Amino acid sequence: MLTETLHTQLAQIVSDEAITNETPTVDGKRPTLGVAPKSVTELAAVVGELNRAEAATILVGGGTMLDLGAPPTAAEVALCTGNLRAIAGYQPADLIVTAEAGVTVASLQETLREHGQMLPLEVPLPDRATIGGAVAANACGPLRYMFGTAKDLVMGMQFVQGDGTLVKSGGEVVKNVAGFGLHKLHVGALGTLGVIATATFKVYPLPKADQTLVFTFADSEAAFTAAAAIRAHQPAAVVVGNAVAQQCLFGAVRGAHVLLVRFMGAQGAVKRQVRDASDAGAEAGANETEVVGEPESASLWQQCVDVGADSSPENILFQANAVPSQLRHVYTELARSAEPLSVGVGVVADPLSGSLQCGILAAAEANQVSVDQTSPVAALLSFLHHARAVSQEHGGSLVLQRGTVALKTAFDVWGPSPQGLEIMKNLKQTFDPHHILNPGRFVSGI
Amino acid sequence: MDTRELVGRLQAVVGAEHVVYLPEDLIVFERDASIDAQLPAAVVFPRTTAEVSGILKVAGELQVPVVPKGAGTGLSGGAVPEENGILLSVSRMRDILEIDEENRTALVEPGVVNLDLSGEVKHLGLYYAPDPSSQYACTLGGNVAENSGGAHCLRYGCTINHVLGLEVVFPGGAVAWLGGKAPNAPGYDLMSAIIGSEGTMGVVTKILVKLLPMPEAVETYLAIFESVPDACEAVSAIIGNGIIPAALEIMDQVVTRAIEEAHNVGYPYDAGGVLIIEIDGMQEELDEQREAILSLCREARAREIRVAQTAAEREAVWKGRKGAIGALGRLAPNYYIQDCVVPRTKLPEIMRFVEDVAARHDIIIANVFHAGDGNLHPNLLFDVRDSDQVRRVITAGEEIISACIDAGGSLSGEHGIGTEKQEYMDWLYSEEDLEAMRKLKRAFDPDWLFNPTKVFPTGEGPHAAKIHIGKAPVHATAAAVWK
Repeated sequence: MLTETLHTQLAQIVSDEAITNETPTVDGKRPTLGVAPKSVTELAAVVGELNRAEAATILVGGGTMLDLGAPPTAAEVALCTGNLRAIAGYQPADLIVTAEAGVTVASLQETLREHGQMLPLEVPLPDRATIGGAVAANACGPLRYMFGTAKDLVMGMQFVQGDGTLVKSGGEVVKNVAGFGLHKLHVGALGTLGVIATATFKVYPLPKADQTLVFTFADSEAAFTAAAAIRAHQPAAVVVGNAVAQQCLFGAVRGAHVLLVRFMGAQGAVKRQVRDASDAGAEAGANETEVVGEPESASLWQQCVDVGADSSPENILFQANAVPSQLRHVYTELARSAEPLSVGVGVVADPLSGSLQCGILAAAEANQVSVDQTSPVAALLSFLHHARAVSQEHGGSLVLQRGTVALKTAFDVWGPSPQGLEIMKNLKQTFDPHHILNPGRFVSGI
Repeated sequence: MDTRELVGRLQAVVGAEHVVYLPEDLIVFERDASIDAQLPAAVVFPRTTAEVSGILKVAGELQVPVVPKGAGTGLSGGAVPEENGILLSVSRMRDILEIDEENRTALVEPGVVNLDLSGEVKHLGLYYAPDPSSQYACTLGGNVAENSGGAHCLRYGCTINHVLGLEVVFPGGAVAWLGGKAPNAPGYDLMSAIIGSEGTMGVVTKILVKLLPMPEAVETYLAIFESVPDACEAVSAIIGNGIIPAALEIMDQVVTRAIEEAHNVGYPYDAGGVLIIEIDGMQEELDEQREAILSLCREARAREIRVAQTAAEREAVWKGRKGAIGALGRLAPNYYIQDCVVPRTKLPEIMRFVEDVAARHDIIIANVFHAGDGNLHPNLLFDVRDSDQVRRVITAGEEIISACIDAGGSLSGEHGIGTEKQEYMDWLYSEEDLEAMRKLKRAFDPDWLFNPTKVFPTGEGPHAAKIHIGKAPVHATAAAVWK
């Protein structure tokens, strides 16, 4: 049997306690064997062995984003990076840090904070989420408006190709064009081109001031208009949230829509920004305005990123994207078309970047996807199809980030095939010839 | 390959007047701004994406190498033609197709000149941030190919951080849109793989870029030091104190004197090192940074700090800096500009090493560089007719590259590898690393037709670099005939 032979082989590479039968279930499939190498060298050797055995491998970091992706075509082994926990290189004055894949986002941030620095990458559940997982899933939050996404922050990487070869790309400097940007290709690739072993990030000084304005609006149009006006005052991040989202954020509903605006920077500058943005918000018709200072400001934004993250597959989560100036239409249309669902639909939108997160709470009925057009499940499917169509109509896309296997089977997680698919398939074939890494989880069956 | 057939097929795609193939007409296309030269079989000037696609189809069918070219300002040989190949010039594709003020984006063709875009959106209070020194001439298509940087990437990032979408014609002629105004397009990030790939993976035919609002306040200082390492210490101190200025640029005495003679912008003649510091943003932000920066410079033994009082004074400071490389032409007939990057904390040490290398090999090295990024530009000055000097320059250059790599750095910060640094790639990367890059290229270009002889080591060993410098005079003579 594959597993027994493989177990024996892996035991030659890693210590006994690094092999386990306790593995997470991914879209209904539970790998029979789990392995958690303790060094990058071990990781490479393990992948090499899995490749020889052609074992379908599920990649696990902190296990916080395992719902992302189409159901795997097979899942024999869970390869966990959780034991790779070294911060391999950090010279604060260089504003560069290199960490192994299994370092949690929170522990990396803690190390950076001790030196007055931060990685401006917002990741749900940072106490558990690992940097490798965050990069592979291309996690990000509203701060992307000011700092960009993992693509902009990752300066280098070591990764293990599907055949077990350890490869370096980029470097530990802030500017580098030597060779091709392989490391950029692994951002958001869900581990399907290789296993991230270490990642090098550009980091930033902590801002001297960090303040948030919370506005409430009766009308979503007004909230988005205010957000557009406030852009002139150079916010670090902006979100608009509906009532259900507010329940998650504040434990209470403050108004039909809230607009959160974050300013980060020099004390004097932030003071003026908050003043000017308050005026702009009032002018756009805000009912109330509250200023949230430190440290509540930072934790409020973490909550925004966490909304809907720690939940069961019955609570559906998706990301809808659109041309930024048109995101308001997607937001409005989601609210309107969700009404017949008679379940809570929470939306947190980032109007400056053009992305929104939508959570559908307590949609347990989705377990049995039915073709019966009258059932709530059909209504849910039609809501999702409509949401995707609306996102596409506004220049964007929709990715189902969490849902039951039945739902993922009925509704394509990633949507239509992207342009350049043939090259994407070539990349998969060349970097993971046996298709062992997260098989079938990425776009168009990759 | 039959050149006549190639030319005929290309003419059928773009029209006879847009194909150049007579040897005497080809000579002006043999170079970019690097030291290498090569005549192509033909130069073709498409106007549309469809024409580019048609050209790449012909290239695929006839198995002819292709080199895309913008303005040819690249310093590493990326736009030098391939032997018997097609040089695909984007110089007729130079329309700004759309300015979207609401989303702060611009859609441009690859032949649009970098600075022209900023000029075009200035009335909206917007600009395009990446600013290579050649920005008055270089094209955005070339910037995408090289992932170009510039003095202000310290705060604002390089080309890759400002491109939102690309229309690309892949080898074989297939056209695809990658990225766009909306974020998070599903699929592998092919766009980021293409940016900086030096024309080895296809031809970019449209570029969607981010535009930034012009900062409300800008201040520019000229801090004058006795030595370059002192200036480097000031740079480390500023960044170490949590301040990221818009730009931190150092010039040594050789450079400031050459600039003064060429441009007369008011740089000191007798200073060992000059540091340009530019901060921008909100006025209050500048107010908080100003005192800290000035005192950190004084602590690093700055003997004088000048503050540009007017926009004209600021422009003079930058005119000098951006004209630095050109001004070096006054000092020697040839220069070899390097582009290594080191972790910024290693700057003082590396610059002392560069001084030592210059002394040991008895050559002049002029330094003008993006200190804030740790991106060095030692210019090794020489006369190509003096073969002993050429030998010393190559050895000195290799010592600097080697020291930068040992310091945890990289071969190139913004100029690219091309032909100029290809033989050093295996100093930085293992064979496995390089093979992974080859696999990436093959996924796009299975027939290995796009800039096929570049980026990767030829296997001739590091000293093959000599050949590149050594063969320059031959072509230089050929070109001189046509002056």
